[in-house]
Order: sequence, then C-alpha cells, then structure tokens
Amino acid sequence: MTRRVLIYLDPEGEADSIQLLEAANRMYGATGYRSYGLRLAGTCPQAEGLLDVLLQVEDPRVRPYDAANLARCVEAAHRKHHFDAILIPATTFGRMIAPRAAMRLHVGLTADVADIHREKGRIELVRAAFGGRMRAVVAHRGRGPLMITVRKNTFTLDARIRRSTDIAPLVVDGITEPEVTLVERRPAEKAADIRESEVLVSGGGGIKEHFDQLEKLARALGGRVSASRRVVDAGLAPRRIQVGQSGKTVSPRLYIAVGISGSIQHVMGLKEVDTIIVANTDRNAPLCSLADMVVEGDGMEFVDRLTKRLLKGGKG
Amino acid sequence: MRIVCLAKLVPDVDNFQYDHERSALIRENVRLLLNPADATAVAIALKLKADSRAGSVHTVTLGPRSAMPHLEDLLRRGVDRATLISDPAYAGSDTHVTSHILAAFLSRCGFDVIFAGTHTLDGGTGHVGPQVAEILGIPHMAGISHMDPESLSEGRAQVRVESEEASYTFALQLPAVLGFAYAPEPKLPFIRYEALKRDLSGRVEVIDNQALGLAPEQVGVLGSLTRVRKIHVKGFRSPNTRFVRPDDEGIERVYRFLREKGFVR
Amino acid sequence: MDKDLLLKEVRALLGDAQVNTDPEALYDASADRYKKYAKARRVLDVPPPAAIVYPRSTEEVARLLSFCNEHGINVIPRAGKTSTEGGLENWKELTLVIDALHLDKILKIDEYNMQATVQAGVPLQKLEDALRERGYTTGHSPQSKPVAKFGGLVATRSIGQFSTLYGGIEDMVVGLECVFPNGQICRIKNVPRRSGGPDIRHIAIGNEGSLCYITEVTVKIYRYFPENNRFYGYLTKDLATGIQVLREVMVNGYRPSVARAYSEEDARQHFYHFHKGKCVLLFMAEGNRHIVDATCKGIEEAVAKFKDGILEQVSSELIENWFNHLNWSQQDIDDEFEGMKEKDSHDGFTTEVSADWETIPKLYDNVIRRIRSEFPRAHDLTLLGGHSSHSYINGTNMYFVYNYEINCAPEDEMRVYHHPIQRIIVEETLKLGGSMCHHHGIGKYRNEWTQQEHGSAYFMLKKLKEAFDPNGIMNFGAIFYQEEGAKFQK
Ligand SMILES: Cc1cc2nc3c(=O)[nH]c(=O)nc-3n(C[C@H](O)[C@H](O)[C@H](O)COP(=O)(O)OP(=O)(O)OC[C@H]3O[C@@H](n4cnc5c(N)ncnc54)[C@H](O)[C@@H]3O)c2cc1C
Ligand SMILES: Cc1cc2nc3c(=O)[nH]c(=O)nc-3n(C[C@H](O)[C@H](O)[C@H](O)COP(=O)(O)OP(=O)(O)OC[C@H]3O[C@@H](n4cnc5c(N)ncnc54)[C@H](O)[C@@H]3O)c2cc1C
Repeated sequence: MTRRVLIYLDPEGEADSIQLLEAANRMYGATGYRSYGLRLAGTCPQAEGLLDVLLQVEDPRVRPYDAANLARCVEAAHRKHHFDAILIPATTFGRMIAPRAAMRLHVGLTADVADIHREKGRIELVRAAFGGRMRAVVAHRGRGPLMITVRKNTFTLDARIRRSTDIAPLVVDGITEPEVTLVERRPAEKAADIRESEVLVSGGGGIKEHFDQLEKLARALGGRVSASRRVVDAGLAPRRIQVGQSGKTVSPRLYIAVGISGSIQHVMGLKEVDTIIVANTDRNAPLCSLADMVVEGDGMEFVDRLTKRLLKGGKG
Repeated sequence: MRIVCLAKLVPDVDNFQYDHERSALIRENVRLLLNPADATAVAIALKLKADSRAGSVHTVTLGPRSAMPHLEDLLRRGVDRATLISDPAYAGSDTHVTSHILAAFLSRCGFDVIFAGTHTLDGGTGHVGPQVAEILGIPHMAGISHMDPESLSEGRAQVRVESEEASYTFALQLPAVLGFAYAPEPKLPFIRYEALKRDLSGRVEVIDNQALGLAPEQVGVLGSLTRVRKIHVKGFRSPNTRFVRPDDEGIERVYRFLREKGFVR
Repeated sequence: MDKDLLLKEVRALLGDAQVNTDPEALYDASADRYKKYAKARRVLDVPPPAAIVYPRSTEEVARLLSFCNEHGINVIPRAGKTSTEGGLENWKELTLVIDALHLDKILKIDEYNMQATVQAGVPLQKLEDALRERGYTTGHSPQSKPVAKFGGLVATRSIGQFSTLYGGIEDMVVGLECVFPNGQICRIKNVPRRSGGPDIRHIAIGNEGSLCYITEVTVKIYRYFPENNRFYGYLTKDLATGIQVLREVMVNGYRPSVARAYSEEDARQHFYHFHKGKCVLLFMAEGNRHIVDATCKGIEEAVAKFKDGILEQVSSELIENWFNHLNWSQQDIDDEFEGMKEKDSHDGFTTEVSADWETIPKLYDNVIRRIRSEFPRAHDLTLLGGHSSHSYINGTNMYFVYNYEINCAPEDEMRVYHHPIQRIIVEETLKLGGSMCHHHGIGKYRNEWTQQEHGSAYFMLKKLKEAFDPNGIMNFGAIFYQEEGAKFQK
C-alpha cells in the first residue's frame, strides 16, 4: 500500500523542509510513499524534482508567517488527499502552524521529533523532554494522519532521488484577511551574547594559555567562545563570557568544553544543553559524566584537528 | 485592558530525582517552579500594569494543587486574580486536551489579550499558545522578545520575534495570544515583606471540571491524542557516553557525530 | 565621645597610615558573610564602624583596647574576614575594627619540638605552605584555609576537614598571647601538658572577640605523608547507614583524617557526577604508612559490616579529585559575592550542630520534616540536606545546608528565609540535647539561645564576660544576647 506524506515547505527554511523527506523515509521506506509538498506560489523552488506532488497555494492573502491561514491550507490539503503523515519543519513559523492545523484536524501532534523507528510495523516517535535530559517515546491515538514537527538538522537526507513533480494548485476555502502583518524583517545578527549562541566552544584551566585559539573552532561551527572562571581569573578572557554560577547561564544546542573540569559552579551555568562534547586529559573529570562524547587527550590537539577536519568538510 | 497570563508550574529540571533501578521519575517532593518564559510574560504584564497601560492581570494555571503556594506568590507580586484549574480527571492530559480546557475557561473569563510563554521547561512543545488561539479563533505569535507598549492602546500589538534567520516585527490585531520568549529582564517584582504576611489562602480561585463541564471522554488520558509510552533518561552518568582520542579516528568520529546531530552540513 | 573626636584620638595613637576611614572599606566592615546577600545588594541595615585600625604590635593592641575601654567604644577584632555567623557585624554607632593585618609574621618553626609560633594575622595557608616545604603540616584545614587567619581561627574554635585525625583548633593550640580590655597582656606558655588549675587557654580559644584580642598563637605541627593518602567512597541507601559506618570506624579506634556522610541532596551539589541520587559516604586515610594500612582495613571492615546499606563503591580517583578541589580562595569568596549582585538565589547557607551518635539521625529527620512542613517558603528551597563531617568517639556533627531562591526584597532575605530555617534547626538540636554551634561560633544571631545552649553552666560564661570585659566593649552582641541589638536580628 503506498502511503501519502505531506511536507509543509516553509519559505523561511526551505532546505530544512526538504530534509523531512528523510523522516518520511524512516517511516515508510524510501519507496513506500508518495510525497506531497505544500508551498506558497513562488517559493521553495528546490522542492521541484524531489517531491512527487507540489500543492501550491495561490491566494495572495496567505503569507508565510500567517499561521491561522496556513493551518487552513494544511487542513484543506488533507481533506482532499487523506495523508498518512503530515510533517512540518520546526522553524519559527512551522511551530506555530502545526499546532493550529492539528487542532483543526483533531489529531495529535508530536513536537520536535528527534528519532523515528519502526517496531513491529508500528512507527515509534522519540522526542526530547525536560530540556534534553529525557527522551520520551510518544504514541498517537485515533485515526487521522500522524502529525509531527521536526527540528532542523535532525535528519539528513543523503540520497536525493530525482522525481518528476506534478504541480497542482490547492484551493482553500475560508481564507481570511491576515490578522498578522509583517512590519519589518531584518537578517539576524550574530549573537554577541554567549547566552544567545547555539554553539559554544568553551575553554578552561587545562588549555588556558591557548584560549585565543578556540575562536577558529567556534567560527568553523558558527558559534562563539566562552570560558570557565579559571580562564577569566587568569585575565585571558573577559568576564562577560564566563559560564557558571557567577557568570552566565547558557543553553546552547552544542557545548564543547575544552580543558574544563566541570565543578558544580561551572555546571550550574549549563541549562538545557542538548549536546555536550568534552575534551579533557582526565576521563574522570566530573564534566565527562554529562558528556555525549568525551575526547580523552590534549585539548588543543583536539581543537586543531577538529578545526582542520571541519574546514575540509565532506561526508566523513 | 485586561491581560490574562497562562502560567504553568513545571518540575525543576535541575533538581530531578530519578530512580535508576525502576527507570522512573521520582515525583514526590519534586520542586515546582513557575515556567521561566511564563514568568517573563507575567513580569511584562505586571510592568504594563505598573505603567498604567493595563488595568488588571489575571493568571490562569492548569495544574496540581501543589501549585497553590506559587499562585499565592503571584498575587503577592501584584497579580490581581489567579485561577487554578485543577481536577483529578485532567491528569495525563496532552497539549490538545490542555488547550481545550484552558480555552473553555478563557472563553468565559473575559480578556483583551492573552500572554503566555513560548515554551515550557518540561514538555517544551510550544503547542498550547497556538492551539488556544486556534480554538478561540484569534491570532497568535510565539517567540516574542519585545513588545511595543504604545501599540496596545491602539487595539493592536506590535512585537518583535527573533529567529536564527531573521528579526521580524509584526503587528497583530487584538485580542491575540502573545507568546513571549524567556528573557532575564524584566524580572517579576519582589514579594514585599508585608505582602508575605498577608494571608492569601482562599484567594486563589480553584476551578474544576464541574465548572467547565467538559465531557469525561474529552479530558485526561481518555481525551488525549498522544501518549508518552516510555521515558529514557540521559545525562548524569549516561551509559552511552562515547570515549574517543584526539587521533585521526577519534576526530573522524567527532566529525561524524556533529554531522549526525546536524551541526555540520 | 563622638566619631570625630574618636578618629582624632586614634590617629594620634597610631598615626594616619594605620587608620582606615575609606567609606567602601567601612561598608565592607559593617557586616560579614552572614549578611552577604544584603551586603552585595547594598541594603545593609547595620551602621558602619567609625574606622578600621591596623596595630603593628601587641603593645599597640593593648593601647587601643585600654583607650576603648576607658571611653566605652565598641571593638570588633578582625582577622581573615571569613566569619559566617555575624561575628564581624557591627551593631554600634561608635565602633573600632581592630584588624590583624600587620601582625603577619611567622615567628618560629620549631621542628625538633614540633610546634610553630605565629602572629594572629598570619593566614593559615602561609604557615601551612612554609611547613609543607619542610615536610610538615598543621593538620588544620578548614575550607577557608587560604583566607582565614590564626586570630580568627582560634577565636571561633574552628575545625578543619581532617579533624577526625588531628582534632579541632583546641587540640592544636599549645599556648598563646592575648590582650584584655584593660590593656593587660597575658602570655600562656607552651608546654606539653600541665595540671596548673583550669586550662586558661580556653578563655581565649572560642571567645569570638568578646573577651580578649588574640595576638599570637603556638600550634603543634605534624609530619606530612601525602604519598600515603588513600581514598574511599561509597553510595549508601540512606544517611543513617553512612552515620552507622562512621560510628563503627570511630569506636573501633581508627582515625581517618576525613570521614563524611552526605544526604542525597547535599551529595548532589558536591558529587553530581557520580552520586546517582543517593547518599555518599567517604573516607580518607592519612599519616604514616602503617597507620594508613590499619586505618584502611578498619574502614573496609566497617563497610563490610553494614554492607546491606551500601549500594556500591565509588572509584577512589573520584574522591581524590574532589579532595583536590576543596578549599575556597579569596577569589571564590569574591565571586560568590559578585554572583549575588545579579542572581536572586542563595546557595550555601549552613547551620552546623552536633550531638551524640544516637541522637544525630533523629535530629536530622526531625529538622528536615519540620522545615518541609512548617517553613512557609519551603517551595523556594532548591536544596535541603546535610552532611556529617567531623566525628568523635561519642558522636558527630551535622552540617545542615540549604539553598533557596530569593523572591523577597534583598533586605528581607534573612527574616524570610534563613532565620526561620535556622530557628528550626537550633530548636530541634537543643530539644534533643545537642549543641547548636559545632564550629562556626555563636556569632550574633544565635545569641538568643546561648543561655539555653549552656544551661546552668551559663553562669560560668557570664562571669567570664563580667570579669574580663566589665565595660562591655568587646564585640557587642557576639555570644551574649543584647537587648539593644535585637532590632537587627528580627
Ligand atoms: C562561589 C563560586 C562561584 C564560582 N563561579 C564559577 C563560574 O561562574 N564559572 C566557573 O567556571 N567557575 C566558577 N567557580 C570556580 C569553580 O569552582 C572552578 O574552580 C572552575 O570552574 C575551574 O575551572 P576549570 O575547570 O576550567 O579549571 P581546572 O579546575 O583547573 O580544570 C582544568 C581541567 O583541564 C584538564 N586538563 C589539563 N590539561 C589539559 C589538556 N592539555 N587538555 C585538555 N584538558 C586538560 C584537567 O584534567 C582538568 O579537568 C566558582 C567557584 C565558587 C566557589
Ligand atoms: C568558604 C568558607 C569555608 C569555611 N570553612 C570552615 C571550616 O571548614 N571550618 C571552620 O571551622 N570554619 C569554616 N569557616 C568559617 C571561618 O573560616 C572560620 O570561622 C574562621 O575561623 C574565621 O577566621 P578569620 O581569620 O577569617 O576570622 P574573622 O572572620 O576575621 O573573625 C572571626 C571571629 O573571630 C574574631 N576574631 C578575629 N580575630 C581575632 C583576634 N585576633 N582576637 C580575638 N578575636 C578575633 C572576630 O571578632 C570574629 O568574631 C568557613 C568560612 C568560609 C567563608
């Protein structure tokens, strides 16, 4: 039986939306479903040739940030095509559209799905909860499509199968004049405050003489550098980038700690960090107990080599 | 201007106790705290009130009775009215049901604007704000980092939303649900010593399902459309910590890990 | 006498350079770590002293004291400023803080007779470093070692983290020199032991600046064998098990230098990386090789005896790593202060009590139960627990720790949070016959219970105050209850 999967194509996150094909692959196998994209006319050209069908909203009143109208579009698409699954990228706007659409369809919604398995023919959805400290397996009840949102970069679509794409207009009843209007849009500035950075490369006592060299690794990862107090005390970093009880509390998605032991006062500054990588000569350093990955050895060697590796790029 | 704030009490993530043998959360004695983003929303509301831009601030909480001391504190901080929606029948409600319960109350309590936090510390789905807005048929915006207080008096809200890609300014027609992102400022005002001594027992209005009249099969586990089947805990001696060395092989593994996690394209 | 006249007289007595009236320094001198949060937020309610003075000799101390005694001026002796119970807090309009800054010399290290003599303003770390170079140690290691100085350490009857082996400061002091308010200088000579009437060292030791000013101290020294250090750590089912094992080790006659049992929540703040939500029990054996071997055996036997309550052994490297990061530097103290300027929370308030073996577990349970059920702000507590860290043949201490979020105005923190909790701890302790003050001193906020603490023996304490400080100039409010100070306590 061929399944039908709808992917919402967010113009503010085109690439992330297309990656959701991989989530669909995990659900039904790469050839087990027909892929439908929902897009606003004139947006997301990259989807052409990758999805089977593009349902195109042509009503100019529907804007990419207008969740109320977009939820109506998702509903209309489903009423017409009866999807098995509806996948929405957890972008700023995807997160607002999905709950409203789920409400309209009276179906459950699992947010920020981090993993998908199939077990005995059933699809298991895994998501993080409690600030990443727990992973919950979520089951949906009732009929209706399996509806999820997925954070960017959760699934990577490696094999891009070329398809011939049918483009069909989607007619949606009940669209209203938007109640939300965009006044201004400015490209985001790189966060100056370590609290706002998604990636932090943090240095401590173990590598303090080389602290300035962390910048290049941070840059290669699009993040910022931060420090433990040991480095700040030594006058090698400013106080405003100190993480911890007497510094800042940070919640990056990725925290790379180089030469930091992980005293409780330091760790108190880490809240809801998704992924922690620790480079330390001592595998018993307390921080290693919180790490997803520990690089046991010299911190600067790790920094140099990883930076080079990142600059080289590729699949690995 | 009547502001209603959705305010949830969440378990303190840092002070979690976990029973490793039984793989279960220890729920007894779990400390509750006001969800940080909700606290930001209430703080903004109270600031509007202090600046005479809002007439009253009313918090609405769906949760257990143990939320009571926190809600009394909100009254002590200057909130005019606090409602606790609590009923054993609501236990196990997912976000879908939660939104229906809240909306059932909101549609009768009266408001000019609804404030909420964008995310909670526990579930963190961010569903409740938009779903409440959907049920009530009003606009919603999440991730608000700043709101222009002047705009409120004109029957609209002009807000700024910060995302990784861009900084947006939107205008929303009121009434609307405004979801604020957590910010260190403004903070909730201090509780004054005199206010601490004030006896507030009974001042928090408690509402149960009898008052809201939702059908039993619409609420709690029965009404929920999603259900958590299993929970795994990570961190605190997570058994799956991987150890590598900073040699070619180790670096390759780190690189692949970063790719898997999407930190590298 | 008014403030201006006082300053004039004191400047005449010591010279300008030894008198400090910098407003910032005076603000700092108006309170100690007891009110550190209010201090950081600049909402202290107590008056600043008139000046801080820095005598250069015992004779200058004597001159200052007799001057103050004559004119009824309050004196607060000061050393390393790590005081935690209000010992340095000022409750009087006319106060001189006499700081031991310049009494900073190590006078003698006598290796043959195993004793060292220092002036009151010598930081413990300074003597310890000098001794280590020669293969010795003081055996005294309070967490404040890098900062605390001998005058304060002796005046508070401090105790170190290796007390189970070396004892408290009272077991270390051989002799000392001190000055009384009338200017009388007394030197207590250094002898191994004597039976020459009551042991008058104890009039100075623990006086908290309320009887005399300590100027010089002689302490014992010990051979130092760091290469023999051995560490043990365990997770236990409950705190009571930990305490049982501690008792077993002690009553069998062993003296590990560190012997500690932590409650679950307290374990979390020290051992988050391995405690797994359980209680922690740990030991360190120290000293010469044979003794260490025997001590280790004793520890292993005691643990085996109570194996039902022991969940698992922890790698000794983890305990050693903890041990190597124990002490607080001045930077730590300053940082905590910095942090409090921004954060509305308090980490690390403590109340330390002691009682016999039988009583301690009961006392612990009673306290925790009462705080959880009676304390109106229990929902703001982020940590409530404690540990036993100093054991004796007949009992042990309990170091209650509590962290909380502060939701009231900074000036109200004490009366809203700390005081109600402290009151419960003190009341429960006294009710069961324990001591409300194991090692921080009574300070100024527990003085309302001093009489109850000592019972009929309070007579002796009161007579000491009347005899040595008849004009009541020494550290007003410390140890002894004062009606006039009550306004600051509430
Ligand atoms: C009240 C108070 C507040 C505090 N506030 C803060 C705070 O806000 N933030 C903070 O960070 N600290 C704070 N501290 C200090 C904290 O207790 C620690 O002292 C500090 O975090 C230690 O920093 P560190 O781990 O970088 O250094 P260290 O403790 O010196 O650890 C260095 C680590 O590097 C490893 N190492 C050594 N060589 C290498 C190498 N070549 N390559 C890789 N690894 C190596 C070592 O094994 C060790 O684990 C506070 C302390 C107190 C008491
Ligand atoms: C981080 C930290 C850890 C601590 N750990 C411990 C510990 O492990 N064990 C422990 O016992 N205590 C501990 N304390 C408490 C404190 O360090 C001790 O009470 C210490 O003995 C005080 O010494 P000080 O030199 O800092 O004295 P100060 O703080 O300057 O004074 C303490 C008291 O002694 C009086 N005094 C000072 N000098 C003299 C003098 N020359 N003559 C007469 N009276 C005098 C003062 O008036 C005051 O009442 C700790 C404190 C901190 C901040």
